[in-house]
Amino acid sequence: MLSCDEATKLIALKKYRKIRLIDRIRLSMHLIACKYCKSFEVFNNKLEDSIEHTCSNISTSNSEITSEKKTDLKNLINKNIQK
Amino acid sequence: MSEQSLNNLEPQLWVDRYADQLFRYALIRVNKRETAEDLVQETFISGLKQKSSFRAESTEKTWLYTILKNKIIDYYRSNEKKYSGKFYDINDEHGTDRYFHHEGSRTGTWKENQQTIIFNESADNQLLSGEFYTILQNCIERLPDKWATVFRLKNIEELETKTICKELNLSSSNLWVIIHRAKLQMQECMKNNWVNEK
Repeated sequence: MLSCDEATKLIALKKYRKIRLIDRIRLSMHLIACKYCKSFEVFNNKLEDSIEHTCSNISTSNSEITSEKKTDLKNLINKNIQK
Repeated sequence: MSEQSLNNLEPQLWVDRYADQLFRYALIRVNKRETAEDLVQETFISGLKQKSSFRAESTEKTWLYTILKNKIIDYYRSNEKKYSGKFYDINDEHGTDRYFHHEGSRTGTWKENQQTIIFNESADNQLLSGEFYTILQNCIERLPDKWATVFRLKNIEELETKTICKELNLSSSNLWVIIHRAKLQMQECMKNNWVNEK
């Protein structure tokens, strides 16, 4: 039987590494019996969804420096070139 | 490869050529616009100061990226210090002891004060309120930058674990502990800040 420590580790890492078949089976058996780990599994899914959502925001909008900041940067560079 | 390989740096064109790319690279790794902008600015300033270290075998772009990467590593270091001895201490060697018994016959089971049921089983497909995600977002933002970066690198750049470890200077076992613990801590954060009324 998996411990809760091991079960939550498998859940937390499933997106990051492959889980052996035997561990998948042990995990699903554990989750039938343990409501705390089951709740953690649902939390983990919501968390991964949320991270994915934030990430798609970074890659689309928001990923440019504002034009004011660019002007500042250009001025700063010109000032430092002349030094 | 034309002019740059002749050891010509063209700082007056850096902003138009590289600022957005460098900014985005930094933003994924630090997640705050202001911090990312500051890092880009510091990169340009350092670039000007270290002009003489530029070698023709490198391109201007790669060279600026190298400077930025070092700036990010310095930033992580100062960021980690902030958490030292606290809830999210990156160097805390106790792994998941806060959550699970680590001695005796109950080793590996949840400690009583950490037994949490945020969700019942049917909640998995349930759409949650915007409030839930706002609070969750706050919990994620409290993570040390290096930890949160692990999650973003996996999602945005779809990096292999090996590459993530190399970039963040972590061993793979370190990385597993960080992901596991960060998620347990975020659940604890949610438990303390969000009440599920359903």
